Amino acid sequence: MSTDPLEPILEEAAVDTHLLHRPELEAIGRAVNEIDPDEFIAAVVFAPGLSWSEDQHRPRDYFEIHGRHWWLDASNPDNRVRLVNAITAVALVHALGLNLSTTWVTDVLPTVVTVRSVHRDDTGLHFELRRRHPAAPLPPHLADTVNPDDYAEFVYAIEQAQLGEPVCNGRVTIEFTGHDAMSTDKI
Amino acid sequence: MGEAMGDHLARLCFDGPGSSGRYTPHAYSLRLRGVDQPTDHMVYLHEVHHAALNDVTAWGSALHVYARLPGDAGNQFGPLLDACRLTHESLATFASVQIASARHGALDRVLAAYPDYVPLHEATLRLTAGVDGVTRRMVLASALARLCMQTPVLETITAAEIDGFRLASVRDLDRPDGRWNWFIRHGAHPLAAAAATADRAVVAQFGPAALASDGPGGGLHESTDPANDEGWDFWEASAYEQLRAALATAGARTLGINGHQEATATLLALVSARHGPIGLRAAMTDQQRRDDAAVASSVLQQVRHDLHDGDRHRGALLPSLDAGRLIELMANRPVIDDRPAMIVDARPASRLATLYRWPGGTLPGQLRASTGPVVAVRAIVDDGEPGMVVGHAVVPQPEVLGALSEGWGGRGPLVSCVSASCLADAGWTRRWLAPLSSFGPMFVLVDVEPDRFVPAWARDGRQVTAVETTVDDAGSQRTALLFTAGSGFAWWLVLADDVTVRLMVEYLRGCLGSRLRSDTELAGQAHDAATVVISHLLATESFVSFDALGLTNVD
Repeated sequence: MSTDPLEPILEEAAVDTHLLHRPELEAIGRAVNEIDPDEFIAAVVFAPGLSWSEDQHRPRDYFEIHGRHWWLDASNPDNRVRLVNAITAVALVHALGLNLSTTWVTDVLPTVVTVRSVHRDDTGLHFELRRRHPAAPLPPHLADTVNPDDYAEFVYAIEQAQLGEPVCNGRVTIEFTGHDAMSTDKI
Repeated sequence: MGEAMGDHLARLCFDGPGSSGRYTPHAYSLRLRGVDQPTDHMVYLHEVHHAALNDVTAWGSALHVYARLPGDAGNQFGPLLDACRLTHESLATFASVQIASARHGALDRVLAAYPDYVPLHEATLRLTAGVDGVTRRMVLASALARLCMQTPVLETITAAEIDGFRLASVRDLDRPDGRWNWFIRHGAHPLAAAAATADRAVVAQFGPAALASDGPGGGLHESTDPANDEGWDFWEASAYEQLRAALATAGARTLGINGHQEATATLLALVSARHGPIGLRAAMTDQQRRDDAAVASSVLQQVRHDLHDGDRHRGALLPSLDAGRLIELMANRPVIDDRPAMIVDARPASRLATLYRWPGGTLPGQLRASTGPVVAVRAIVDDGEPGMVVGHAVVPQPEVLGALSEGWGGRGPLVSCVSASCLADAGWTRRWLAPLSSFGPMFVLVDVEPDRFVPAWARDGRQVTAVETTVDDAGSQRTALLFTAGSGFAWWLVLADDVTVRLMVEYLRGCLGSRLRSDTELAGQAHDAATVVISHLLATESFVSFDALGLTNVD
């Protein structure tokens, strides 16, 4: 990412802390899409820097009812990347009308799209994106979970987006401005 | 019980009002505080709905299978579970709140204690906002969750010959949470349209009676009257088909509402050929799902009540003591009305192994070597470590019971508590049952499915008398059911909460009909002895469940 894209998003959501708990993530999610922030939050809670109170870890082998006390430290660079990817995924799913989950798009986004910049003005948030060309093959760490047909469909949908033609969805505008040469250093 | 589970429970006790539940495809465990009944009911119903959803869907069948596969073959359980958490938790939260609200009124305060579930409930409320009637909304949420879970995953698993299956073989829109999110993004309209279609279908097929029960003035209890079951099943199937058609427009590969059954049978045959029996319960038929006794039996098979905070009690084997030393050990421990009690317990060694955390993680050799159930007197002891230890002083021979009884005199009650699982050992029963009966009032702690003993009572035409009682346990309400068959040798005892006791009564009534008689209270000596044994169990038994002998309807 050539400029820090997270700060405008935090400003749009009126979030003035880098320790993000559920209320802050709800606000960020609503800044991008008004329907429901839960899908976005689900995409975020798998972030590598997710912290739990009292060093608790997320139980993975049973359904349960309990309070989960976690937060995301947005001053951590990896967390910032994950957060921006999740936010961009929400914007893409809604703007392009994709039949894919935000979590799914968040995972594959870096192989297909570069978030060039995000800025905000009175009309909302503006995402400048670049297509990776050609799109990278599916990374090995996603091979067990990402369906190849879904991936091909997503790559095709991104390739169909017209360069220089902004797509608006609520207070979010997405614009593809060109191509980046394929690189795996940020994947 | 692993470290993660211990941490989880510790966190639960710290976080909310305390009552908690957890479900795996094997069973569900409840730690009900007995302080706030709406909370306990919500938690109980939450876990029941996890079980119900898994039992009637393709994704649920896949979870059941992979949860039981040995070794590396079971590795895909985690990815499968992660792909359906949102669907499961949304339905379980919504349905449990709806049903518990029908009895207790608004549950906002109760749900607020589980803050991560509030958004799930609100999202499902928004999804069903265009639908009138609490029953319609609940049935529609069920139809939606079933549709999300009814994906072609079983065919994919079978094609990959089980071990070769990876989640990547399933498209995102054919995963439960991919589907649930798709509906969330499309808002309330598809569900409102499905409800309207289902309304028209039911009126055309059954007339307006079932729908009228869901109108103003009607409630969930009225709507769910068995007379309306067929109508609401039809309504759910109709709504399901409408939602299915909407989802198919996005390219999802959907199944009929019961479209998983054939693929489940095929997969189970393959699993059996590869791995042998994996201990999977048979799915309930549609007819069984409308039978209250069968539903009660199904729930009882899977529930476990934790009576102890956190992990199980620590257990210790006490040195062998003769009758005189045992009497000395127990004589100065007041149990009821400042008087001591001598309580003799009998449990199979395998049950003792799971009831307690033993030193070194294994049952002591002397108990493991026991040829039948272990008969012992329990005493809380201090081993210098934090927390109490339940010590077990073995009663080696039936003859010792006579010496104990004689030496004890009138110090306090003499009671025996034999778990029902002990009675499956005919040799042990021949040797011990008569001496234990003579020792004092005998209670049979029900730790096996009622299917193992109640049908025989029904066949023999025995009259069963049942008494329900509530117990105050240091500020917590517990509920117990005591019942005896004819001139039975003992009182059978279910110790749990009001829901489990009600399910047990439903089961007994379903099997016994008019031969079940309810009494309001126990008389005299039996009442005092029941109070003693219940207090004793609450203090020393780690949990109560009905699977001590395994389940009867497994492969």
